[in-house]
Amino acid sequence: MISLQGIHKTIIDGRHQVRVLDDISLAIHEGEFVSIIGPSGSGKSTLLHVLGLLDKPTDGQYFFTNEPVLRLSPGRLATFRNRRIGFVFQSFMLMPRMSVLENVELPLLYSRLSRRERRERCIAVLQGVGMQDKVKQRAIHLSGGEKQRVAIARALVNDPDLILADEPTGNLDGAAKSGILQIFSKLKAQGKTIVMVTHDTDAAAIADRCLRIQSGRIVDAKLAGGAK
Amino acid sequence: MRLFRSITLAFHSMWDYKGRSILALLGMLVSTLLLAFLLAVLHNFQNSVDGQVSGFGLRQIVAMPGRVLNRKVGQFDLSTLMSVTTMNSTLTAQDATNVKKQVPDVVAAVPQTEIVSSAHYGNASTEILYTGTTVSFDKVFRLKLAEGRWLDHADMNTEAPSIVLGALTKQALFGKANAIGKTVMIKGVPFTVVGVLAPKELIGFNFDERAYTEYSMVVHTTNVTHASMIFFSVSPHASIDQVAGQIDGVISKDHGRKDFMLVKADEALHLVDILMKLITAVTVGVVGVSFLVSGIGIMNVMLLVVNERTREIGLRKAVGAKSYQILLQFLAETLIICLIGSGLGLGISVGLLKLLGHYYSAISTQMPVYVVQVSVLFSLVTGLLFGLSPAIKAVRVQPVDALRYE
Repeated sequence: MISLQGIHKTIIDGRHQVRVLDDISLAIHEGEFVSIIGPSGSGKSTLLHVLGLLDKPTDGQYFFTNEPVLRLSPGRLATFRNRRIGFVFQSFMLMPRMSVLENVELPLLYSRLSRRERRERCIAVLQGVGMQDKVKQRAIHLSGGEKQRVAIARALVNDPDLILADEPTGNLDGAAKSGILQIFSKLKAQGKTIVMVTHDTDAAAIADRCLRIQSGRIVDAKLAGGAK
Repeated sequence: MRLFRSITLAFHSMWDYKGRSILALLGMLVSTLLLAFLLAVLHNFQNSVDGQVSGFGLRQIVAMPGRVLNRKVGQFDLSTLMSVTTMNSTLTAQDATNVKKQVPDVVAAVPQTEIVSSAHYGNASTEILYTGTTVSFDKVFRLKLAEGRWLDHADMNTEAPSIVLGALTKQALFGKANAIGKTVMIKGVPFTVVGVLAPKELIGFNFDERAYTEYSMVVHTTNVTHASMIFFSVSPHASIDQVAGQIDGVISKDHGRKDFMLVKADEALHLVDILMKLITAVTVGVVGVSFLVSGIGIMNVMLLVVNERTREIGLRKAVGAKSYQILLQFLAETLIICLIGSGLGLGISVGLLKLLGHYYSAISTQMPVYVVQVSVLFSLVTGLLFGLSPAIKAVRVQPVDALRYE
């Protein structure tokens, strides 16, 4: 489903050029759950941002279901992200003053759905993550685990082809973490394509494949504990 | 995303940042208040003046003491007004009589002479303009009487002179009591009150604080020998300019020189119009600066808001918001702030107009539609101009940078 070929990403830091991604080639199949691990600053999040079309590589090619997505205009890229990619962030990225429902609804505001259809979809995904009882609660009043459930619901609400998660358990304690991992396991069982960046070996273990990245290069790729 | 959704989003965001929104809104409120209130007052004042002068009649010519220096033919403007030199009056009742005789198109020629004096009734007394004129005076000014009648020819040759009181003079001497038939003392002469004028407003004239009697009576009882003004009514079919030329010729010939000036009613209106346009232009200029300042204030507030909401913008872009949608959202926020501020400013200015009307009944309290339109237009243009920069800043936020933004 996804093919990265010779991806390079260089940034300018003062007078120095820093190579963040160095010749990354990668294929991810439909329904596959891939975890990416590596030390801080190794380029994990940058790779995730490139996969999510939030960041453009300096060089290389990116095919999403055979479509060369790096050639898309900014407007079409926005539509592509809206319809086909769901994001889960370590810091949740919820609007604190908005309700749970309004937070989940956010990606749908940029689709053509009616208000009723949007609300129905939101309720359905919130049921899937066990947050159906808190739809009217403001995000600011939720616990860390609840916030991440809402963030996952937001990522799922457009029924995307690809779910990208950046350290989804990074800010959570034991019980909340295991709840979130259960949700990811459930999504994997439903056949969702997931790429998750993590430091957490427990989280990495539920994936089908684990990629180790260091200094912008994939140095190790092996089947993880979740592989059938 | 449709425009309606951008507006809804903008309302949500404004509610979330109430403090900032109110600050931004205040500037627009004050600017609109100034613009709407001042323009409405000027508009209503001009209407009031136009109405008064039209009520007096546009086919009137007034002879006044003084001369206009450097007056160009056919023009009566601000420079004319600045060129008037004051002179002691040389006008007389005889000038009025001569013009009436020699210019057939003058249907009425009414001299007026006046002096400040005291009027007494019982223990009450008041300062008045002791005014001498003729029986045609009430018709020239279309005066209305609250009580009794105007002076008539029988009053002009009587041992017991008659007098007509202005509304305020009557109020000061008699209060609410009937004044007709009572005797008022002026300059030691007992006058019988035969009429009381209804209150009348005409810019530049004071009818209410006067007491009117026959012209020669004032001349005999004071040391005033000349008319302060002569009012001429022109027949409906004659050319005002031609008749003015004829009046000018008659009086100049009698005086042997040009020691007076003639003012036509339509010229006075034209002058008022010029003055109002000048004041309106200055007002719009000053208020324009106020809008500029409030626009800069709104821009600063919105730039701060964009900074504060960098992560939100990044998130919106990450989940599919297009650049134009972000632009619309922030522009809509600025425009809504401007429109609400403008609406509140208009509302308060309507209230101030009512308050002003309470104290100055001559000025209408209506808010002209064009003033509302101009105010809303000013606020919309300000919102668009000063909302663009913050909106463009929001559009330029890169989602990947915004997601890292603390």
